[in-house]
Amino acid sequence: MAFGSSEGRGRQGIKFLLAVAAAWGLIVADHNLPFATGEVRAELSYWLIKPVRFAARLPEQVWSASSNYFKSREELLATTRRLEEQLLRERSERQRQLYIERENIELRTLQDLRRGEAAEAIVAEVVNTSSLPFINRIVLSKGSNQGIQENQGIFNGRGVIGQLTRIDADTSQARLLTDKRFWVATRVRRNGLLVLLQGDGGRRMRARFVPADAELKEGDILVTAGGDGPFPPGLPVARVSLTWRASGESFMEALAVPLASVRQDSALLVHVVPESDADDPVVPVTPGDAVPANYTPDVLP
Amino acid sequence: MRGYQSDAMRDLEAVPSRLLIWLSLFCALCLNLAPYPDEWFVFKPDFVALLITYWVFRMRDAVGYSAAFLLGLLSDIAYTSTLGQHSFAYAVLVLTADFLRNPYVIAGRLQQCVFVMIALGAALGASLGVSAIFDDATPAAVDFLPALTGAGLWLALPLLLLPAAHRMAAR
Repeated sequence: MAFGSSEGRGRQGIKFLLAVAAAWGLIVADHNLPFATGEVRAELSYWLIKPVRFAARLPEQVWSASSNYFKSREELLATTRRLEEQLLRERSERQRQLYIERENIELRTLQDLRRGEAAEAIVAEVVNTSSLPFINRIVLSKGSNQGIQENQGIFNGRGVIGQLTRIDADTSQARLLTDKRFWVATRVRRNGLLVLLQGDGGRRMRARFVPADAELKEGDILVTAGGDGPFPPGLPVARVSLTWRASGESFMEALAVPLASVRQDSALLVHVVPESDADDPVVPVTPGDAVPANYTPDVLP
Repeated sequence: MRGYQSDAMRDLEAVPSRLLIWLSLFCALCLNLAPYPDEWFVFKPDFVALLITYWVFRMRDAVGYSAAFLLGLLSDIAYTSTLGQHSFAYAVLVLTADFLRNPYVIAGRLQQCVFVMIALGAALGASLGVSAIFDDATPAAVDFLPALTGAGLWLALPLLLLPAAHRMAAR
């Protein structure tokens, strides 16, 4: 068949239309029936993608293992010394934290408040980031078989990363905090001001519905407010990079840059809701009735 | 006649085997799923899209719409993106590469890179459209960088695949 002929082009056109129709059928089905397509996805992921992923990571693992094998004695001694010093610092920090926790419990008891539960977490690894830079999504190495549940928060040593959205048997998908559908209640570390953050769909976050006279300025660190949200309180989320007030408006606008970033193979922590809150399922933060019906956000410069 | 044009004509005479084609696509999928540092991620091209473009330009029968659809489906499962998103993007890629194939064959090396960039950019644009509709994504111009880096890698691609193609050429 000559592809330059009209007959050849006609056949190719029909094949293109069929492929596009099938693709869009899948897109619509996945968007409207995620539970049905999730089963197919999980099976294909296990039988087809897992071997490919193993082959993809094999060179890096072989390189890592062989370079570890050939490390010099001096390098190993230096690494051991550094880790011992780090362990000593963290033990000291842990002692201080235990003292603060005991003090906190006593103060709560005095004020007849419910005792806060210790945060539990499951360690998971980032298996894949998205293929496209503008899709704020990652895949983790643990799923429902390891106790992972939907809507649990994920974070690392530097702060909040995002929230779990789709759970398979042995993997799970998480939405990053820069995704437009990600909301989190935070407090300004400096003065305790409550600020609602939303991902902007790119690489930053927006502070929403902050009163125009609120004391929020560039450089402020925003930490999780805790409460019934998917994150324990006090986790770093973002740093305010830009604030803007339009005259006559009742709310100010602010942009914030996330403090934590994600790298493949980096370990993350999945926050497990304590059993005492098992009757109250974890729900994503939404603005709800806090949003005035006639509110129109200004466009930032 | 330019030196590379005669190379391009010679390339077309060496018919690669199906094994080489699918092996190269498998390696491309592995490269897509390999771990990369965060700083490289913005520049990382879609290796599967690059190889599809290469084979469509090289030999039209090598990779068709059904192969592109299946590869897209595998990519969607691997990245947990919306099912069908990469399938749609790769179908657009094959269509664009098919249209550009005739001028590609007679073009110089740098012009070929431009055609590759257009094809990869069309696939990225298709993916971007799906993400904008279903993922509330707000893409920026920098998100098209993978098309640029893919076009840059194009210069090296024949050096990797041609020797194997000539050795494994179907008789």
